Amino acid sequence: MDYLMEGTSFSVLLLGLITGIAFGLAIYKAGASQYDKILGMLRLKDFAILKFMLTTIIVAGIGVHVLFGMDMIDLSLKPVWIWAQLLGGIIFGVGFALLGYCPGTGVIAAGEGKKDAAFGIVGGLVGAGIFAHFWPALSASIIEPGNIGTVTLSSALGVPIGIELYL
Amino acid sequence: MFKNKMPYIWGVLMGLVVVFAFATARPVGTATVYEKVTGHILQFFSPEYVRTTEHYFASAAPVAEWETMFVIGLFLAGLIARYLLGGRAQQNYIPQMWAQRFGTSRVRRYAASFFAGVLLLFGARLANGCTSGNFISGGSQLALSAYIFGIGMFASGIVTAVLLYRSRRVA
Repeated sequence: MDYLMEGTSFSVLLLGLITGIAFGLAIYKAGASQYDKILGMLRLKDFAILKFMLTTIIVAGIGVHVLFGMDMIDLSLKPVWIWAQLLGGIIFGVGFALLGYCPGTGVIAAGEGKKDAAFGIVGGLVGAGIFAHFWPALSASIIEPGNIGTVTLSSALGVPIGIELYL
Repeated sequence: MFKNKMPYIWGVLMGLVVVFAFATARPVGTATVYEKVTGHILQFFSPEYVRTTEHYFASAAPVAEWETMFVIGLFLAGLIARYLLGGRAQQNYIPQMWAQRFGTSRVRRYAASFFAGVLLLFGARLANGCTSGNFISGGSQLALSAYIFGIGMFASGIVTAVLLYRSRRVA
């Protein structure tokens, strides 16, 4: 039980919980925890969820860059793994179209009482376990050969961070 | 395009939640938690396997941390929707569009969901993040990783969805 109390303070845990509830309610209200809405987007018939997602990224992008410019936050960039991110995205997309939830929205949908989402979560636990089991081989064959470190669009375009928002 | 404003309004609020997470803790993310939960379940059966499988718990404290609480918060949001906002899914819920195309067999839907979940999280872990951790958190930081993942995810998602629904007309 020692790891239960390890490291993270209660206030940080509470912040995580509150952020999760707020994030989950926004997703629920936008309809992104509905299979029919997600498939409507992927079948190119109903773009409500796409509008929701892109608005989120634009607003968050502006906020994050403003706070970064004011030295109030650090960026937390994931390295670019060209092949793993492309292949992972493709495998993810097949699962996404079949399930109609992503790993986060599936948890919300399960909370709403949608049993298909709960089966998706159990499958997800298995999928994560398969990944962990084969991680050494995947790392050597797919991940590391495409690892080019952290790259942002602004660094790739050679403009200072913050500027690209005004272009 | 702007007739129904709700997706934009909820998108603005969600964007502010993402910024809040950055300002108070760390970028939002979900997929890693699945791996940690699997690690804990396996630890119950074989601590030896989990210890020798390098990737479990590699990056952070296993249980009580921000991201785990974030995912519990997502589940609570679903419960709030169900009991307080009238969002309760009916007993033996099958998505309407799925039922029109593939019928109302629960076994079929649940089996497909399980299989899809395996692909979903295997793909997310391989790509080092899912829709929230990679696409939204990364995309808002203009991280190239997010856009590579996003292109793969939408391309294959659209192709799969169109193929799944191609042979019959579904409203």
